[in-house]
Amino acid sequence: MLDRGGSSGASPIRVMRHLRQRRHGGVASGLLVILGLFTLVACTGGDAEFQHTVEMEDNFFTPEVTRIDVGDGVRFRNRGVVPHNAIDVGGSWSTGEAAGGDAADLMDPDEEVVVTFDEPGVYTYYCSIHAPDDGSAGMAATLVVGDVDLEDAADDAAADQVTEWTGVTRRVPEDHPTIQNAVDAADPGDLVLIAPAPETPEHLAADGRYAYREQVDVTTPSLTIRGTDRNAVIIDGEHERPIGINTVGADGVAVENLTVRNTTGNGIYWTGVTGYRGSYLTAYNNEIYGIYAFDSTDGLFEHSYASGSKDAGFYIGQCDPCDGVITDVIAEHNGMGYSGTNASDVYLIGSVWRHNVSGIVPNTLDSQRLPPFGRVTIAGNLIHDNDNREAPALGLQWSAFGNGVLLTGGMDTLVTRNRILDHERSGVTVGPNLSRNFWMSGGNVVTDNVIEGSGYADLILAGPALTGNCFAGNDPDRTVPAGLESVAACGPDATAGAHAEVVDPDRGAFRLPSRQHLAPTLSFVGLVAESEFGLQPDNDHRDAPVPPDQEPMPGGADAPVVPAVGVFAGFDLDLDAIEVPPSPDPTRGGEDADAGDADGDGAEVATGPGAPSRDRAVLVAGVPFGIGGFSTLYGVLGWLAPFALFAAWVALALIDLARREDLARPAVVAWTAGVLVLPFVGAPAYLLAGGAGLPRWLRWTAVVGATVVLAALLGAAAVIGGLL
Amino acid sequence: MGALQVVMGLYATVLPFAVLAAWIAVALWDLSRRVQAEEVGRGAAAGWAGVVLVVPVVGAAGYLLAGASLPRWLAATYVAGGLVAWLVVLAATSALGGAA
Repeated sequence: MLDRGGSSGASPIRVMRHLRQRRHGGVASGLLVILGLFTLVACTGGDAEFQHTVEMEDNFFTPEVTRIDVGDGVRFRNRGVVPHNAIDVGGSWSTGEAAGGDAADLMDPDEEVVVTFDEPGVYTYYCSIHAPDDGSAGMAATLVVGDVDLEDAADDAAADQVTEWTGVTRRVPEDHPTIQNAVDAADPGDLVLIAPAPETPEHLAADGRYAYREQVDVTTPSLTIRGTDRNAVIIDGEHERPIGINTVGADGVAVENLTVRNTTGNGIYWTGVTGYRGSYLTAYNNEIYGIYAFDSTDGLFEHSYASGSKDAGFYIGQCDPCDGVITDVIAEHNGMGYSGTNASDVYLIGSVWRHNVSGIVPNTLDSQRLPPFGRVTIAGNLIHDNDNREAPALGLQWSAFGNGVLLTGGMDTLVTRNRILDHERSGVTVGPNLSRNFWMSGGNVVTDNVIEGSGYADLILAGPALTGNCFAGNDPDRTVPAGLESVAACGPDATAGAHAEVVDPDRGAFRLPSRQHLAPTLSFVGLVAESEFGLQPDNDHRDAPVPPDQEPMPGGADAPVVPAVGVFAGFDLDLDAIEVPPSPDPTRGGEDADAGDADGDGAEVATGPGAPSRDRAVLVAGVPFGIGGFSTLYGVLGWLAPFALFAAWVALALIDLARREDLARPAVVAWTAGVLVLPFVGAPAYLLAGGAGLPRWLRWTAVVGATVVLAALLGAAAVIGGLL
Repeated sequence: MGALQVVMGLYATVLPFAVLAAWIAVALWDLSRRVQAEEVGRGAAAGWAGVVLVVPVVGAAGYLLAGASLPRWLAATYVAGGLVAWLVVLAATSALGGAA
């Protein structure tokens, strides 16, 4: 994060830092440094002068090319949900140094830095955790200062990928002292084979284990980077380096059979690639993401484990189609087990998602390209206990707390044949997501899951929603709205999911308009308020449990070497063969109960019939009581109270019409029609302007006074919750 | 989906509940007026109130159509009009693409 104090010793430009944080607001302080030809100004309050803005999204700059005049200011603004920075490839400036810290210091979401450029030239800049330091790929962009020719400073020397192993093995540490050294020396198609770190002082990690204390940047395609021992080959970020293995723009790179831990960003990361594979990987206590593919297609995560990340253990983002598969993985103790922002055509198959803040959360955000997400297939997973208040999580992740599967603002996703147990909020929620745009969900199909032990409801359709969401065969104990499988049923031919052709899904013949409910949406707003108000548990990812040894890759060092080319096409996926996985509790799950400890976490399996479902929230017209004060408050003020007020208006209007003797029958009928048919405005219009016989003070108090009071209460609640 | 579709979808969701609440309110107001006018006894009024409040939908609509002192055309307007209004809103919402 940004260093809040100090000053940079050298900078070729004038910089003005403007810090704007959601919770803390501006802070008045400033400093001035003049060095050589240039001036550095850093301040943390007031409005900085700038003529241009570069948005730092997740994970790209926009615009990609910015042209400015000499002397102009550029505001770098982080509009993403994860930290970023901007660093000149030539090293002449950075947002971190501008803010008075180191070049690689990161800007939190909502932070801004203004840089004023006094020297003409072409600057290629990059984000140090989302691009290589030559700015050749990933999160990089160009700034043209003055009337100069734009030259593409990116190094486009990446070699072509190959489809087969070259037969060359580069051994670490025998042939190369560091992994980075071996990767740099490798040609496309080589195997980089890593033995456990030597037991030397320079490899001694803080916990007494021996690890590679480096970040590995990969720009050569078709490499296979393999550990000889999944649990003993460790890359340790030491809570100082952003990424463990950072593959940027290099297609076809496979990473296998090793552990990455303790990074300040991502454990194992691919960005801007076609073809990637992560097999038998362990990623733990990496601050933001564990195993992560961004802006990448044709990939596979398999037989892997991720824990202790504030955002997500597994993440696939910004791709359409992604052609990505995640199968046979375990994610626990993360903010989210899976997050997939704007990721379409993804399969999440046969994995375990447990003890995270939330389980599987495909989502749509404007901070990344290609919104909305769509066509995700979630099948055959065991999803349980994703309401872990002791897991680390960012604020945005807290808003998803307590849900097994949460589809926010996406389309045509299939959730089928999963076992979803014991969540404080819901088993499956389909709902909207408010980013810069308001994204609603539609065409999602939720069928044939086993869902038990949900505190709020097993199934929720949170409104407003688009058309086509349907639910069938889940046998829920409670839904919001009530009777969801009746009012939003699926027909027998309903289809959705990855690569499904959803033209007109069969959603059944009988559908009522009460198929969605606003209270759950307001309940999510309540969680945002909890985070803003400081009620979110502040858990340090460094304190997340260290996982036990995980299953090693069959064959180990001698396994066949296969570059990650044509991964998706080569994956044998038989969706029809997928069944609901057995219960982790042998006393639950009926005919599946004999499978016992299905998720392998042993000691955490509860026993006894019916245990350990969550306490049921008391619902009043869909508003939950008992699962968070802000959720209840916003549900009451945002849903119950307005609804009751509207109902009172209609009742008052009809009573008044019944009392009036000055109106002819046609007029009464016409007013009744207006009161009922005109959405929300018919009744108040009659009361205020229809000549109602009720006392004027009563009519104005009921319509205007009550509305003002309700709006004031809502505003006050939003202020208290930090939403305004 | 435009804002109008969202508003119509939401209105189609809440309207039946608002109509039911209005039926109940009109029925209780009518009962109160009839008790004050000594048209019905307190016991009978309490019985009707119980029916109106406890029997879902049919209780309030049944009282308005069969037991209330309202003119028959007005009671029919309220009961049938509520249902017709809901269908109209549903049709409009469906036409806008918001109720499928």
